[in-house]
Amino acid sequence: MSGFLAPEAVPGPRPSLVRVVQAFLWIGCVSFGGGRTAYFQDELVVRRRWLTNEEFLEAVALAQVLPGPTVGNLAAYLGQRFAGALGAVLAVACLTVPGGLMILALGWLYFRGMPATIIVPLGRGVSAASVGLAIAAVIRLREGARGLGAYLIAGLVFGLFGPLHWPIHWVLVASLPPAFGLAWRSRR
Amino acid sequence: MSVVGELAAVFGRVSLLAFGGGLGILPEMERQAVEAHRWVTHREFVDAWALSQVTPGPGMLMVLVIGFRASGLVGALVAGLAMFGPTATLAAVIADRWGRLGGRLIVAVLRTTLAPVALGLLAAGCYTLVRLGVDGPGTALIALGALVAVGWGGLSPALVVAAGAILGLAALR
Repeated sequence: MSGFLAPEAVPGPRPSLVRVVQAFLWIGCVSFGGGRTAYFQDELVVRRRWLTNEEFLEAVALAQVLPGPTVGNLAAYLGQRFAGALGAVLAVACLTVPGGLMILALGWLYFRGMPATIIVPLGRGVSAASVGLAIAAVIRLREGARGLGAYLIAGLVFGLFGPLHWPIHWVLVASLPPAFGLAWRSRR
Repeated sequence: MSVVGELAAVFGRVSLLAFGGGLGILPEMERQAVEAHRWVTHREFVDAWALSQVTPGPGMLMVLVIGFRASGLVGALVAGLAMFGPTATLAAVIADRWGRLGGRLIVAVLRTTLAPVALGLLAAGCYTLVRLGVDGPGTALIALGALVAVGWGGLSPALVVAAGAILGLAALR
């Protein structure tokens, strides 16, 4: 994996509200395809360096564990951390309004008779490319969880939640105790 | 209850069931929107999902299409607010409380606890994406090319996905 981009963020001053709006508006306008957390990681960790990989993983974990669409939660959580309550509101709005307008326009055309099959080949290319983005994000984020024990826990979660399709609460019941034990030992 | 009230109630409730990502609630959403309330047909529901895959932002923006079909622009707005509003508010409140705890040992320990779990959840998400998005040599090549271009090349994900869309149009008909 040598050469794979995995920069360490340096903790700097909190970004201004304008910069937060810029970042989330960009993500809201370009985050096509599945695996949209990959766009957050690229923009906020790799390019703007507002977060370390570990801080980003913490945000992703909370966004996934809390009820609701993950990326909406992630925008609210990070917006709040970067720039307070107004930051949270604007981050969620910037993430959802551009795509919302686009999907409404397409929906309008669709109900007027545009066949959805027109977009199928486009959608297949987008979905395939977003697989690559999502895997790249996971490889970069490995920096946020160091050591053999951490990777074993990540592998356990992958197996239970991916191929075995366990419901998330059982995945957490199985993985959080060993993860907590490992974290406790390494921090003391 | 009016249609708008029903949209708010249904999508507000469904969003609270979405633990671990939105894909898990699609069956319940379809049951509500297609069978219980007949806002859209099965075909329209599937096509609304397809539209969300070629527009940016959260996939759950597909509820705007359902709300629009059920009750026009007001329906779309209400469906979107119900899907994202309550749960995003909760996430922001948690972020605020979590941030106030600051540098305590227990917070540091919990952060280290959550990191490998989140990494595993994201990896499992990749597994789902592969199953949904890679169905032959063409899509596999696009996925591999995107991985290399973003991971090693440092190219912008937006650019890479746009290239994927064009290749899809050109080669995957």
